[in-house]
Amino acid sequence: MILPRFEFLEPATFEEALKIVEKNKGEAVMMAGGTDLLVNLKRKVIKASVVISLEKIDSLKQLNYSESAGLTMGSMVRVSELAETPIIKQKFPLLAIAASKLGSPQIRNRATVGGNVCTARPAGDTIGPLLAYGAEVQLVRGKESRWEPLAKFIVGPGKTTKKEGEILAAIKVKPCAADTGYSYIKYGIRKAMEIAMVSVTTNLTFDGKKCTSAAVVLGAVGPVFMRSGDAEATLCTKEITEALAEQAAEQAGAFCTPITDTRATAEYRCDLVKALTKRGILEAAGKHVKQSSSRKQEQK
Amino acid sequence: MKKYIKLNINSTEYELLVNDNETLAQLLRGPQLNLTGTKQGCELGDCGACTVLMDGKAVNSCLVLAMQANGHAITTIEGLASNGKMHPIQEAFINAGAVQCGYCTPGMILKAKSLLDVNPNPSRKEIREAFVGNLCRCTGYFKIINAVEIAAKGQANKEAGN
Ligand SMILES: Cc1cc2nc3c(=O)[nH]c(=O)nc-3n(C[C@H](O)[C@H](O)[C@H](O)COP(=O)(O)OP(=O)(O)OC[C@H]3O[C@@H](n4cnc5c(N)ncnc54)[C@H](O)[C@@H]3O)c2cc1C
Ligand code: FES
Ligand code: FES
Repeated sequence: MILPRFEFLEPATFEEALKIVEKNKGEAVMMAGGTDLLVNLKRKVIKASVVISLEKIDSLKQLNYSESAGLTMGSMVRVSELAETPIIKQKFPLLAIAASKLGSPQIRNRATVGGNVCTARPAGDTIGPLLAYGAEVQLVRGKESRWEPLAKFIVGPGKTTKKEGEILAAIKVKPCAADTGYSYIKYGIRKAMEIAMVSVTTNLTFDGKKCTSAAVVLGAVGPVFMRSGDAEATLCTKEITEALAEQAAEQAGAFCTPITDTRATAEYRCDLVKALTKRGILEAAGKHVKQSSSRKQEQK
Repeated sequence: MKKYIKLNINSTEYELLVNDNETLAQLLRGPQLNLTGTKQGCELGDCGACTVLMDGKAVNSCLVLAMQANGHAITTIEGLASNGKMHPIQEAFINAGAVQCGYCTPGMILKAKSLLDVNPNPSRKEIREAFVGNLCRCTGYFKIINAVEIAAKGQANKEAGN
C-alpha cells in the first residue's frame, strides 16, 4: 500500500514545531507515533501535503510525578512506557493496565498517549482511565496556551475542541487518593488486538469501608466516553455490596446510548454494560479490601 | 522530495537516499538494500509480518517512515545469523517445526528475540501475549510457542554451561 506523496518535516524543538505548524496551516497534519495517521493516509481517509512529526521533540517525552502535583506527561510519551513505568503502575494503575491492552507490543512501542487522546475514539484505551482520573490536557498554538478538562476536550467520535494548528503538549493528572480500588475491563471478541466492544473503567475511593467517591466510565457505548453519574451517586458514601453494585450497574445500563454496528447490537451492548459494570465495581471493591488488609499486615 | 538519512542496519552503517513517503519496510525491501527477509502482509499494522527491531524494540516497519529511522539501529532477520551460523531462535523454529509457508517467520523470530532479550524465561502465557500482533495462517501457533520455549531453554542451558 503506497503512501500518497507528502513533505515530511521533523522539527527538533517545540518552538520550531509551533512555527512550522503555523507556516503550513491548512495543509499539514501532525504525526505522533503514526499508528493511526499512517493507516489513515494509506487508506486515503486523511489527505495532507505536509506531515509534521513531533518525534524529535524531547520536551514532549517528559514524564514527571510528584506527590503534590501528581502526574504530568508530554503528549509524546509512548503507550508502552505508560504500561511499564513503575510510578504509573503504582499510582495510576488504570492507565498502566489500559495501556498494556492497546493493540500489540509493536503498536504500543510507537503509539503515544497524545495520539490516542487526539483520535478521540469512543473505544480509545487510555481515554477511560484518563477521564476516571480527571485528566486535563494542554493545547498550545503560537503564544497561546490553554488547559482544558479531557471530558470537555473530546466532543464526538474523532472530534475534539482542538483548533487548527494547536499542538497537544501535555496531559496532567492530579494525585490519586491513597485508598482506592480500581478495575479496567475491555470487552471484545478476541482478547488481543481488538478495539473494545464495550469498556468499563471503575475507580473507587474509600474511607474505611465506605466508598467516598466513584468514577464509572463507559467506553464504546455512545459518541463519546460517558460517566454514569447515577451509578456513581449510588455507590457514594456506602459500603459496596453485591446488591449495591447491581443497582449501580442497572443505572449504567439504562444510561448508555450505544449504536448497533458490525461488532454488536445496541441491545447486547447495554446488557454488556450492566454485566461488566457490576463486575468492575466488585473487582474494584475487592482490590481495595485486599490492599487495605495488606497495608494492615505491613503495619503489624 | 528525497533526503539522505544515516542509519545502522544489522550492525552496518548506511547513508541512503529516501523518499518522504517511503516506509521503512519499503526501504528495507527496496533496490538499495534488497533485504527482502522482511515481509509485508497487511501494511496496516495488523499482521506483524513486517516486524523489525528498532533500537532493540519490535515495531511494524510498515507503520514507520524510512525518514524516522534516521539515526536509529535496525535489526532485520538477515542480521541474526553470525559467521554463517543461525541464531538459536532460528534453529529452535526449525527444530520445533514452527515454519510452514514461512511468510510470518521473520516477524515471529524478531518478536521472539525482543521478548527473550527482556524476559529470558517467559511463561507460555507471556509468549502468547507477546505474539498478539503477529498472525500466522499456517501453524496454528502451537509450534511457534514451543519454539520460543526451546530457544529460552537453550539460552538458559548455555548460560549454565551445559
Ligand atoms: C493494528 C492497530 C491496532 C490498534 N489497536 C488499538 C487499541 O486496541 N486501542 C486503541 O485505543 N487504539 C488502537 N489503535 C489506534 C492507535 O494505535 C492509537 O489510537 C494510538 O494511541 C495513536 O497514537 P499515535 O501516536 O500513533 O497517533 P498518530 O497516528 O500519530 O496521530 C493520531 C491523530 O492525532 C493527531 N495528533 C497526534 N498527536 C498530536 C499532538 N501532540 N498534537 C496534536 N495532534 C496530534 C494526529 O494529527 C492524528 O490525526 C490501533 C491501531 C492499529 C494500527
Ligand atoms: S505488514 Fe506491517 S503489520 Fe502487516
Ligand atoms: S508459517 Fe505460514 S503464515 Fe506462519
